[in-house]
Amino acid sequence: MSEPLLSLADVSLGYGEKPVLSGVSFAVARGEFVGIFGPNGSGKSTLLKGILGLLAPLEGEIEVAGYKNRELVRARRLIGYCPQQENPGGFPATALEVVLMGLYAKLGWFRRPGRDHRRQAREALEAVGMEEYAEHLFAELSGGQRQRVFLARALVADPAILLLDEPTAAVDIAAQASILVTIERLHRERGLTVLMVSHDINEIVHSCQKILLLHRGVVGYGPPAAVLTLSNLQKVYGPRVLVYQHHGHPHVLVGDFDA
Amino acid sequence: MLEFLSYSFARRGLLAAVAVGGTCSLLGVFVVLRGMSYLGTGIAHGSLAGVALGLLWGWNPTLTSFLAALTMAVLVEYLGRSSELRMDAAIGVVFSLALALAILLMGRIGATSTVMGYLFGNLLTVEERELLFIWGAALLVLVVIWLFFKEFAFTTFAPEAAEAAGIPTRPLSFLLTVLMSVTIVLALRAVGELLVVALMVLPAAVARQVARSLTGMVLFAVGLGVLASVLGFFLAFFLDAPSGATITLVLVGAFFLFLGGTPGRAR
Repeated sequence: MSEPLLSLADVSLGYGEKPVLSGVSFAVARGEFVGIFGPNGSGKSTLLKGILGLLAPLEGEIEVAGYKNRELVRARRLIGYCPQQENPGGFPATALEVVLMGLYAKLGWFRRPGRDHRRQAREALEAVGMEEYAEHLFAELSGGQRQRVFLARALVADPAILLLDEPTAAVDIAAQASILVTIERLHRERGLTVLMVSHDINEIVHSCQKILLLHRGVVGYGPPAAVLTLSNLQKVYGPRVLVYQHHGHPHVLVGDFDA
Repeated sequence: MLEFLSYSFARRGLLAAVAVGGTCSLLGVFVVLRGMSYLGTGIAHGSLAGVALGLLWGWNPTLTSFLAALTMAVLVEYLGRSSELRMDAAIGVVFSLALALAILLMGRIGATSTVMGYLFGNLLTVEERELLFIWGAALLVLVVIWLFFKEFAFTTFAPEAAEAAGIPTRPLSFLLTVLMSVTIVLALRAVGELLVVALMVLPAAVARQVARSLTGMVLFAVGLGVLASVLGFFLAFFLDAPSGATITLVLVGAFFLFLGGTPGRAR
C-alpha cells in the first residue's frame, strides 16, 4: 500500500471515560473507497468524529495527512463531512446558500462569500446533479435532494477525503441508488478518498475497495471478500446471517431463514 | 397627535423603542431558529433577580441585571454540559431559582413604580443615561452579529457540520447567549421582564413565515420589530398603558395577520 492518507493505531474513542470503540487500528490509502459497517451503537459515527478531531482519542493515535490527535483540527480543511440526519427545520436558505456554508471556514472571519465562491457552489451543485435547484428553498426539497445538497456542501471546499455518515438513510430506494452512483463517480473522477458509513452492506459493497466491520472495535478490515465472511458477520449481527456470492461479490442477508 | 414628542421624555421613549425593537428582533431571528426562547425566558427571570438585588443594595440595577443574566446563562451552560440533565431541564432549574430569588427580593422592596416598570415596561420613564446605554448596547449587538453573521448562520443551520468544518461552535453559541443577556437587559425598561421574550420571538416568528433567506428574515423581523415598538409606544402613551403590553399586542396582531404566509416574499 502507498503512504496512508489516514491511519489509526490502537485507538480508543468514547464519551467521558467510557470507550465506545477500543483497540482500533487500520490505514486508508489515498483514493480508496472504504465502507464502514456495524450494528447500531457499534461506534461508526464515533469513529468519524474521532477522525474529524471532534472527539479526542482516549488512547492511541489518529493521523490524517500528517496531522496527529490534537492537530487534527488543522486537517479538517482536507475533509468534506456529511453528518447523519441533519434537520435544520424551517431555516430560510436556498440550496446554493447551504452549499456556500461549506466555504465559510475557508473564508475565515469577517469575510463574506463573493462571486467566485458562488460559482464554486454552483459547480458543486452541478457535480451532484442539483444545479437547477440552486435557488430553490432547501426546506422545500425532498429528502434525496437535501442529501445531494449536503454532499455538494461537503465537496465545495475541494476536499481530499469525504466522510459520509449514512448519506442514503431516510431516502427512498431510487434516491439511494442515484446518490450512490453520484458518490462513486466523484470518487472515480476526483480521486477522492471516501469513508462511508452505511447500514446496507449490499448497497455499497460493489463500490468499496475495503470494508471496515465494527463492533466496539475492529472485527475485520480489508477487501470485501476477506471481511464479509460468515464468521465475521455472525460476530457482529448474530447467528441469523447468510452470505452468498453474486457476480464475484459477497452479499449479506439477515433474517430467520428456517421459517 | 405628535405634539407630545416636543417633550424630551417622549422623544427618549421613542428613541428607546426603536433601539429595543430592532435589537430584540435581530437577535430573535437566531433565538427562534435555534429554539432558544425558553433560555430567553430563563435569562429574563435571572435579570429580574438582578434588578431586585440592585434596587435593594442601592447599586445600578442595569449593571446588576446584566451580571445576574450572565450568571444565569453560565449556570445553565455548566449544568447542561456537566450533568446528566437535558438543557431544558437545566434551564428549568436555574429559571426557578432566579424567579424565586426575584420574588423574594421584590417582596422586600415592595411594589414600587420602579419595580413595576421593570416587570411591565415603561418607555416614558427612560432617562438620558439609560437611553445612551440602550443605544450603546444595541449597536454592540448589531456589530457583533454583523461580524459573525455567516458563522452564526452555519452553526444555527447545522452545528455538527459547522464544527467539523472548523467553525468554533461552542464559543459562538456562548457569545450568542451573552448577546441575548445584553439584549434582555437593554429591553427590560421598554417591554418589561414578563414580555421581553415576546419582542424577540414574535417578529422572528412572523418573518420566518415570509422569508426566503436568512438576510430576508433578519430585515423583515427588524423592520417589524421597530414598527411594532414605535406603534406600541404611541398606543401606550394614548391609552396610558404599560408599553410592554401594547408592543406585544401589536406584534401578536401582526403574527395572526401573517399566519400561513408562504416563503417567497422577503429575499
